Parts: sequence; structure tokens; C-alpha cells
Amino acid sequence: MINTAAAQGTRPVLEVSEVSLAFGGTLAVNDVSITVSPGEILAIVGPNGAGKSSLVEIISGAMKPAGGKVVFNGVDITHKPAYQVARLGLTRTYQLSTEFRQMTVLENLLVGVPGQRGSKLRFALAGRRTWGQEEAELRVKARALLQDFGLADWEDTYAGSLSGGQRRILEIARALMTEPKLLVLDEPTAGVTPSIVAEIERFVEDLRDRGLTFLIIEHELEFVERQADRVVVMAAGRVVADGTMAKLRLNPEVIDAYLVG
Amino acid sequence: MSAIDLYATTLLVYFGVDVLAAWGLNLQYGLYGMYNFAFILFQSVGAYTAAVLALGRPTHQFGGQQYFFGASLPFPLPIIAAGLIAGVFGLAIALILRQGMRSDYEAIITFVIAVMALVTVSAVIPLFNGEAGLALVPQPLARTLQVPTAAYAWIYVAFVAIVCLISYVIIRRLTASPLGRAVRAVRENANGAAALGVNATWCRIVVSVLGAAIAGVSGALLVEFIGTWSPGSWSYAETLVIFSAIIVGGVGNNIGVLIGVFVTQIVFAEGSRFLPTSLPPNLVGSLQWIIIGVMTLAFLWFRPQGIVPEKRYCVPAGPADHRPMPAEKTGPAAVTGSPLIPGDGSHD
Repeated sequence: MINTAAAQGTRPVLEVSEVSLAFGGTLAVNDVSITVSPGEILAIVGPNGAGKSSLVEIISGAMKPAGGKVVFNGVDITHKPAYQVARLGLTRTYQLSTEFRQMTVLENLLVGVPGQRGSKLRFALAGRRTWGQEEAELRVKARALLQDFGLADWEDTYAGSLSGGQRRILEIARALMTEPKLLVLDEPTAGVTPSIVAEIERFVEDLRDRGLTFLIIEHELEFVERQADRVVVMAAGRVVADGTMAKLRLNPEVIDAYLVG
Repeated sequence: MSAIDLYATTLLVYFGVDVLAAWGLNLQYGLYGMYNFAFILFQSVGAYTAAVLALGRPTHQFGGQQYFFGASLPFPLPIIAAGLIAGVFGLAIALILRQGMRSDYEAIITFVIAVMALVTVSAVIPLFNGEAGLALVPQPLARTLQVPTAAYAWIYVAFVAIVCLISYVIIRRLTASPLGRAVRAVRENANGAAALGVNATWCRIVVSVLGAAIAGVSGALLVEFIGTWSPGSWSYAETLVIFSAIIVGGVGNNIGVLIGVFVTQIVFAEGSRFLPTSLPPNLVGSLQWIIIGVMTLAFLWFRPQGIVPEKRYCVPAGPADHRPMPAEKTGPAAVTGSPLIPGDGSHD
């Protein structure tokens, strides 16, 4: 297995070591180890039921593994709850959009600022004078992101009124408000039109150019081929291959597991 | 005290108390989405706490009431204690309803808790005098003020209004703050909120404790005005009435909830007193419930957002809020110098 970080002599952003997760006796994730290096785009592909999304649940703190370890930027996050993982800078999006439907698009972004002054009870009760200035600055940031992501005209719209593609873009923009060090995208192109896929690709490229590290779960192999530096193939809860897409296309095990057809 | 004074002051105190309770439940249900069918328990905890802390030691009381503890604390300590003890119960409920629990389970669990509490208090007489309940709770400052009964009643109405105003300011500050926004985000999608660093458990504790404390104070205000409190005052159905007020007024909107209380508790509940006397006597009392129930169903069908819907957060952008877009770049990298990308800043 390629370990890019070790090969480059840099500390990986994410180290997943021998993690397992079982659902009712069935191993959804079976002794999986992966690493993600700084600035890298790592894609995880595999057929339905391969354990990709379960692995993301473990990495993001939404589920606790039966065994193994997850280290993010040198911090053991194996047993940390999801909100603490996010505060450390590991932010994820979901396969099905999780927009806050009855909140405006601008508010959706403003939620993604953990640790802001007004989110502490004593400042909240003390009133706007204690957090209003910070809120105004965050609004400027959020509006800049909305403009960059083409959602500026919808800032006062309830997120539930957006189209499916806009919701997917909103979720990525919202995740960026947390200032992530690693952004985990769970099937970002699922169920969206080709034009939205192209937009998402452009966002990913721009963010990668600025040094953001990505872990992307994806079915769309052309997207993966264009974007990913390295690809991990999973099948039946296990990692079956790890390398560049070109190399994996020649791997018989991968062809059997996933690429057939 | 004239009949008009008695009717008006009683109605206004009940209105204020109901508004407080509805605001408390609106924090839990409207803001967070907690299905707490034991909510009336908080009001009752407040009422019993204030009663036993104002009645004095049980052996010294006229009527031979039995109750737990007993003290004669001066105003406003019984009311403050009522809020604190109810807040502790709110904490317990927040911890019992674990994060991620299905809403139907929340409803069932809290309903069972409400029934268990009612049965226990009714059966264990040394707690709060059982089914008979507590009576002769002294009115605060009645001896100190030395004013006629009618004047005292109007002063009490003013006091309730002040408590309502203070509670509104507290609730308003919470709901308008980033913490209130985080609570609403948990209501909309708990997983999505957690992925952005929102601690949903803390949000639940905040709304549950604060909502319970406000309800506890409402119970204390009521018992110190009417002087009695018994299991008949807090059956689980009372929680449904508060839910109705919120649904009719507007879930998540405190002014809407105030209007909802006015409509359900004053207009319709009091209006049923003027029904034709030819109706069967037992039916008139039941009609209050039927009217409130039908009205709730009608709103759920035809106007689920209520009379005054939850406020949409819109802040007009100032001149500095929109940067001109660089012509050659339209992607997120155009956020020149923005600390939105790793390495440029940290939120820790």
C-alpha cells in the first residue's frame, strides 16, 4: 500500500489504522487502514455496500469503531464525538444534503463557525453588544463565500427552497466556514446535474490550489480520475487496492470488485 | 374586591402564567424540536416548591396538611427556588432524552414520566398532601403591603407582567444569538449541525433547563396567587393545551406564542362560558377542550406555521458585505486573503 505521507517525509493529516465496524455481526468496515497527506485529494471508491460511508462515519466521529484508531493532525480522535472532530478541523458533508431547511442560506453558513462568542451561553444572554461585532465580521466572510459559490442572490432564502444542486453547493460552502484542514465529501456529485458536477469540480480544484486536503467518497469514476491524486478501492468492508486511477484500472482485483462494466 | 376586579386580575394572572409556560415549552419544542409531553411537570415542580417554601413547617399549619420539608422563606426566595428546582428537573429530562433519540420515543418517554409523577404525587401523601393537594399558600408581601385585596391583586398582575417581560428579554436574547441559531440548526438536522462543530447535547441542556426554569417560575407565580395546588392542576392534558397555544400562535415565534395563548386560553376557553345554558352542563366544560382540539387540528391542516410564523433571519448587507468579483476568477479561491482556507487561521 502506498503511504504518500511517509514517502514524502511529512506527517499525514489523517491516519486511519486497522479500524473495524460491525452491524449485527456483519463487518461493514474490516480492518481498514488509510492515510491522507497534506494537500492531497484522496478518493475512496467501491461498489454499494463496500463500507465507504461507514468509514466516513468513523472518521468524522459519527460512529465509534469496534477496533482500530483514527488520528487527525496528531490527535487521537477515535472516540471523540462528531462536533469535537469538526472543531479540530475535520469537516464532512453528507451523501444526502443536511441543509438546515427552515433557516436562510446565510444562516446555514453562520452555523458553521464553532467557538464564536455568541454561541457561549453567558455571551448569548448578555446580549448582542457582546457578540454583534464578531457576527458582523462573520457575515462579511459568509457573504464572500456565497458570492464565490454563486449563492449570493439566495442568502435570505430558506435553504429548503433551494434546488438539489444548490443544496449540495451550499453544504460545501457551509463546511468551508469551519475553516477545515481536511474536508471529507461523501458522494458530492450524487444526484446532481452535469453542470453542477462541473461547478463542484471547479470548487475542489480551486480549494486544492489553496492547500486544502480532501477525502472524497465518490461513485463517478471520471470525476475521481480528474480530481484525485490517489484512489483507495474498497469492497466488502476491506481496502482492496490503493494507487493512481491509471494504475488501478490495470489491477484485476479492482476490475473484479468494481470496475467491471 | 368587586367581581370585575376578581375576574380581570385572575384572568390576567392566568394569562401571564400561561404565556410564561408556553414560552418555556416553545424554547424546548419550537426552538430545539424536543417533544416533551412532561412539560407541565416543570410548572408543577415550581408550584409545589414555592408552596412548601412559603407555607412553613407542616406541624404549624392550619388544616393538618402533610408535606415534605416546609419553610417560611421571604419573597421572592420561594419563586427563585421554584425556578432553580424546576431547572434541575429540566436537566434530568435533557439527559434522559439522549441525543439522536427518535421524536416518537421522546414523546412516549416524557408522557410516561408525566403519568408516573402524577400518580406518585397523588399516592404518596407525605410528599405534597396527595390528591387533596396544598392549600392556604400565603400570598407574598400581603402583610407588608397592607393594601386592599383588589389593589393587591392588581399589584400582583403588575408583578407577573414584570416577570413576563424579564423572561421575554432572556428568551429573546437566547433565540437571537448564535447559540439560538445553533439550537435551531440541531432542530433542523442534528447530524449536519454536529458536522459543523455544534454540541447538540449542550444545546438540548440549555433549552431544557431554561424552559423548565421559566415554567417553574410560572407555577410559583400561580400558586402564590391562587393559594392552592393539587394533582388536578397539572394533568398531562395541560401540556397539550400549551402545545396547542404554540401551534396556533406560531412555533418558534415568542410573540406568536403570546397571541396563541390569548386565543386558546382567553378567547376560546373563556368564550365557552357564554355558550347557551340549554346545553348539558357537563358538555360545556368539555367543549373548551373540544374547541381547542379542533382549532389545533385546523391550524395543523391549514396554517401549520401558526398565526405569526417563526421569524426569518435577514440582515441587509452593508457596503462592505459584498466584494466585487474578480473578472478572471469565479471559484472559491477568489476569497482573496480570506481566512477560510486552512493555514490562514484557526477557530480554536
